[in-house]
Amino acid sequence: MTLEILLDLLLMAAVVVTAFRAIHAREIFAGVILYIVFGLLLALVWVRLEAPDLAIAEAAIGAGITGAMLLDAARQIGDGPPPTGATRRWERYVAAAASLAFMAVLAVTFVTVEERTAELPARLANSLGESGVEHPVTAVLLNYRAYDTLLEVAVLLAAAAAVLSLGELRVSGRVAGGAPPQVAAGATALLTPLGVLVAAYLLLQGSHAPGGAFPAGAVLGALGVLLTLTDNSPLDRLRPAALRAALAAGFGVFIVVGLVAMAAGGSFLSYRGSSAGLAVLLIETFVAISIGATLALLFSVGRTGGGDERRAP
Amino acid sequence: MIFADVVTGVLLLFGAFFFLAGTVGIVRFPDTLSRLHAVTKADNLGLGIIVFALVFQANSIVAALKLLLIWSVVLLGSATTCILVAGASRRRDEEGERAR
Repeated sequence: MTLEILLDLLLMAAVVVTAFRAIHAREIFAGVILYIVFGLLLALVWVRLEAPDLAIAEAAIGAGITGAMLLDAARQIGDGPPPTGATRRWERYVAAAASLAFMAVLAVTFVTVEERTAELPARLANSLGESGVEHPVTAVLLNYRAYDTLLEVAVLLAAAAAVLSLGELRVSGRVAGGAPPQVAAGATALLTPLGVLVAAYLLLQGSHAPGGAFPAGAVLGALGVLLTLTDNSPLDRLRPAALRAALAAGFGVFIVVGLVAMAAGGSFLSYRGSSAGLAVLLIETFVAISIGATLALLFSVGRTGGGDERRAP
Repeated sequence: MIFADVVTGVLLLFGAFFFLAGTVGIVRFPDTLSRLHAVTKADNLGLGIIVFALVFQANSIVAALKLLLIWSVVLLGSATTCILVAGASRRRDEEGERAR
């Protein structure tokens, strides 16, 4: 028991130190790497809090995809120290004070909210049978609080629409103009089918264990990033209409399923009982595809591929 | 059952030793290539030993195979990353030479 507390304290200290070092890194590149390490440590924190669903999401999206985007941005900005004068001293103090205040609010909430919601897990366990899935997290995300998830999917779609509106989709993975390294292309060729398999596994696993649409979509998005980096972007092969369909499929199917539940006599998104399992699986499948396409798009679009060439004299 | 636990414990210690060696290497070695050498070789072996330690705790063949799959994917990823980082470091050195 004491050993576990020691481990937790060590982990917490590592998270804080890594966050501090990431902000105060002398080079942008080092800051990004430290940010990725920070995300992985945070995933371990979620594991320690017995929230494996969040751990998977944090590792895949927080550290993985966001890390890849930041690395790419750092490459396009170029090496060297971060631009100075971006923030003034008093601005940093205000930001620190606001963060500490927010942390205090969270801490107070954490301490006080526990007693009020202690009955929720029991109620959830009792009604899990009608939700269509056996994993409580999936039941909450895709059934009881489906409205929240629908809005999250809408936010992703809005982000994709905003990115598309920035200009013509031009996807290029090339870093320095030459062909992608053969080793990377070979590894990607091996990993692609495996990644699709893992995504499908995570998707189906979500009905009874940690998994579901978000981790599955993150794996698909990561594959998109890998393929883009090896000059083989899947988005390049889609017609613009097909790409838009892939981006919007999750949101669209979600709404259609919700309306069908309404037509069947319930209210919007109220699928319970025998058909709930099918409804959840249908939604999760298309949401995973849309998340994967959106993440790959966010990474790919605007890559000029000329970061190194432009800097050359 | 106790025999499996003992094997797991011993293997875990071995694996942790290789991770420690890799970490010492990445801190102490002077240049990028030596550090890559330390972290890829030692950590991959360490992870392999830890995976084998956990195989003895697996409830089913499928779980054991999943552990081995994880190791093989990490091997593939780490070997690929190692070559990419080494290549990037060499290009950077060459650019540095030219700039001088």
